[in-house]
Amino acid sequence: MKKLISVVLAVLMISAICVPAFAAPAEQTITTPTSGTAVVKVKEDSLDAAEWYVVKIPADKEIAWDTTSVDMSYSVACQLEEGKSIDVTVTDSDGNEMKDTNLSGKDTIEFTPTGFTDGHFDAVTGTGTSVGDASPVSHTVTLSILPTAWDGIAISVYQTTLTYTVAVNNPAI
Amino acid sequence: MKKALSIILSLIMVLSLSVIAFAEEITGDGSSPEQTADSIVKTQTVNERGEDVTSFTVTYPAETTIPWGKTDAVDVAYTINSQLLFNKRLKVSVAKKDGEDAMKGSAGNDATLAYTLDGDVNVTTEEAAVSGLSKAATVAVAQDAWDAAPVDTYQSNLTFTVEVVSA
Repeated sequence: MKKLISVVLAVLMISAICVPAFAAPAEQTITTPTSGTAVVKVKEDSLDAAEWYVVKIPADKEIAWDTTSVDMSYSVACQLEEGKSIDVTVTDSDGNEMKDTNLSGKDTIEFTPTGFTDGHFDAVTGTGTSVGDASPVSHTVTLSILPTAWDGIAISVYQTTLTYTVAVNNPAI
Repeated sequence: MKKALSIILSLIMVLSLSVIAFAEEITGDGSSPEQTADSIVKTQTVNERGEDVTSFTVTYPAETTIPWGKTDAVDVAYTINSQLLFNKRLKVSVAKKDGEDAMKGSAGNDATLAYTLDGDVNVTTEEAAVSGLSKAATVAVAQDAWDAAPVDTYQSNLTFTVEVVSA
């Protein structure tokens, strides 16, 4: 048993011995007073540095009756080639109104949007190296509703659909 | 020690569970075409405290005076305001109080003064939400009723009944 173990250990030891791959020296050494030049180069490899973006939009939202402000902000992170940018625009389906879903839109609730059209983001926005580890930056989008907008209308479910559109802008050639 | 550690790890695992506000992601790269995604905003029918927000008021006069001998109908005006569920309406009824078909005289006067009640005595709103809807019941005393009654102060009560009904 001892002999067997010693043989096995010897084999393991031998297999751990590495044969050096003789290659050109990666380092240059200066031993006498003189000057040398080291070239530092960052190589862009499109296969290894893929462009990406992620825009996170809010989930469907229910608001209480008499709400005066609705937060529908989104966030953006991206890493694109230099010169590119991203535009995010928000539109609503009903002309800045929420329509009654039970009475075929007879009554409406008007709102004033902010942040719908000013979403412009540079080639590098937020942090992260991919969609998976992105830390996006937030862009505020708000629907403001006057208190009086809730008066004089039937109590019902009013609804609108916001569409978030993401477009990549390429630099002019 | 092992039991304590397993309990601690279980707690950590449970606490890490969170309710996620499911959001949608739009992802792409530098060559992606324009992309869109939707979010729906909808209202509830209760306020932020979960309270019913339906309401109504019917405003009517506490007293209506008829000059002696007037035979023209006198308005008993009332106003309706309501904000109800979309499928509800407000019904207002005006009637002579039970057992008071005619106006009664003051103490010691057993005579009565007959009158008619007409006009908007049964109103159902046409919309769930109405504001300042003016209606009027009318009270009229005929000439022969005036002629038959001793001069006195006669009075009676009208009953206003308000109900929420289905459209």
